[in-house]
Amino acid sequence: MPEILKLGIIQRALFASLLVGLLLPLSGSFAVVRKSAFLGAGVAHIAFSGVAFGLMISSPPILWAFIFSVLASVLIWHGGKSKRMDYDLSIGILFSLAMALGILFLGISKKYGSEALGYLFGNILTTTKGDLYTLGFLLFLLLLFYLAFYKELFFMSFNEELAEASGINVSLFSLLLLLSMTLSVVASLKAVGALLVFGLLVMPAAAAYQLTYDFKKMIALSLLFGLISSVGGIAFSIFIDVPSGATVVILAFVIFLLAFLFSRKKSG
Amino acid sequence: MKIIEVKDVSLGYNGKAVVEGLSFDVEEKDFWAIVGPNGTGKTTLIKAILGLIKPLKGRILVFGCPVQRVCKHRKMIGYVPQMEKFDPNFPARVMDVVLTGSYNKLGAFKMPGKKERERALELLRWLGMEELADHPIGKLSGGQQRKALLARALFAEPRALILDEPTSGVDIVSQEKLIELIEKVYREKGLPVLFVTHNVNPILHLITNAVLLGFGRHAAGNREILFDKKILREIYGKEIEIVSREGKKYIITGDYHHA
Ligand SMILES: Nc1ncnc2c1ncn2[C@@H]1O[C@H](COP(=O)(O)OP(=O)(O)OP(=O)(O)O)[C@@H](O)[C@H]1O
Ligand SMILES: [Mg+2]
Repeated sequence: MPEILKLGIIQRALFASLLVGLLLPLSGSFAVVRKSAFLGAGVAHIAFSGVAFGLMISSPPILWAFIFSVLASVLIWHGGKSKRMDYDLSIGILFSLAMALGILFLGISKKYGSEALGYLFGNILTTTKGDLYTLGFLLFLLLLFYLAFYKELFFMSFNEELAEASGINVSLFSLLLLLSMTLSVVASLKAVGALLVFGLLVMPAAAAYQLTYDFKKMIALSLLFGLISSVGGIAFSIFIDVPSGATVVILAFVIFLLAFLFSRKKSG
Repeated sequence: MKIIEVKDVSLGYNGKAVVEGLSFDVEEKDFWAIVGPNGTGKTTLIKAILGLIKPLKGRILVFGCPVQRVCKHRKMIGYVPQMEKFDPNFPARVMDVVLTGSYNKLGAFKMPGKKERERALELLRWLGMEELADHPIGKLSGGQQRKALLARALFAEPRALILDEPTSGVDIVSQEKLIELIEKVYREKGLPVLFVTHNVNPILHLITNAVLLGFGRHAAGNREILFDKKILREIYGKEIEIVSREGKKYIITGDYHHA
């Protein structure tokens, strides 16, 4: 794609917002119906501690974000599998440990404060071509995964026991879902920031959840809302020169609020 | 042919046994009632047969295959779990849930189509809930949800049915219909049925065998054990009366008798 090579900063930013706006709500939809959305918040913060670690040892921060959050995901999954730990609890514990470690790493390395803040708040203007390829490839991979195993994923989201009794490897698919969310979060870290990535993960899906009883429609709506929030929010942030994560999440919230007010599910 | 073999099995949680040393074989055309007071391990037994939990001791074979191993037998069992209310807001309609019964036969990327929808509608019609096909599953009553789950279980043309209190929370007319449907499937296909219930009277005419689970004791065998007052007293810790009306037997508690 020769045009991409010629893209300017703004175009790259908008391109990134497009990809992030699809990627996060996609995994977010499953997280919302499985009531495991809080995992996304946990993973984002754990990823940030990886960033801090990378900065401390002068190694690529995203690589360490990836290593930290995948390790944490596997731990959380294992805890949930053995039924010894609720997801909520393992996330809460790893979440605060991760933040403590992140702060510790930043404290030790001192000089990297502003770069670290970039990962905390997100700075989409620093998007590189490489970032775009990563996001695009991940989106393609996840779309393939969700399309191939939509039936299994839908069934186990509805009722894990019934799905397992029907021969679906619920444990394996839980891990894959968790990893797909983790990858989406890590890949979006630079654009949206660790503090706000959760907003794009859950809010479009939560808004869509308010509006329909059809899971496929819910996913479609959540992608649409994600796109609007992300592209709109990032365009706006460039315009008024504020961190992009903030405007994206505020826009996502407005959409959620409207969906909530007009929800068919209101009356229970 | 033996469909399910339970061999000297102990079941429980965290190493603590709920059921100990239980054995029985389910053959084709058997209709097993599984009865006993709350908390004696009926659901636990069913989960073990489905391979959802591991026995503490002993072996369970389904279609000759040990349940702990991953094999295709699970796909051959139609299962209706014990009553649990679904999340009222979950984005799935009755049709979506019934269609999950078709998933085993569809490969990756494939979605159920017109043929599957028609079959699902037909099953729903049979259960008198065709017009609820597009209704959110979580917004149905408990009894309607049970029926949707039965339709789901029957969709895949199972080779055995395992039903955990399928009639609890179902009104008496629907209960009759539900049992009629189960009877039809049972007789037409000659498949074995395991039926957990607290009230055997509506299915007495179908029952061929029974497992009675009590606290620290159990009995498994042919249907006659259901009418053995000594065994019933041991299982329930209370006198159980057997009354005969119009040539049929009914099992009732002693209290009712004295009232
Ligand atoms: N997940 C679990 N962990 C620990 N103990 C459990 C678990 N599930 C059930 N039990 C215990 O095992 C025993 C048997 O439970 P089970 O659900 O099999 O009873 P049941 O015969 O199906 O009862 P009911 O008639 O109420 O459905 C109970 O004492 C229960 O407390
Ligand atoms: Mg039970």
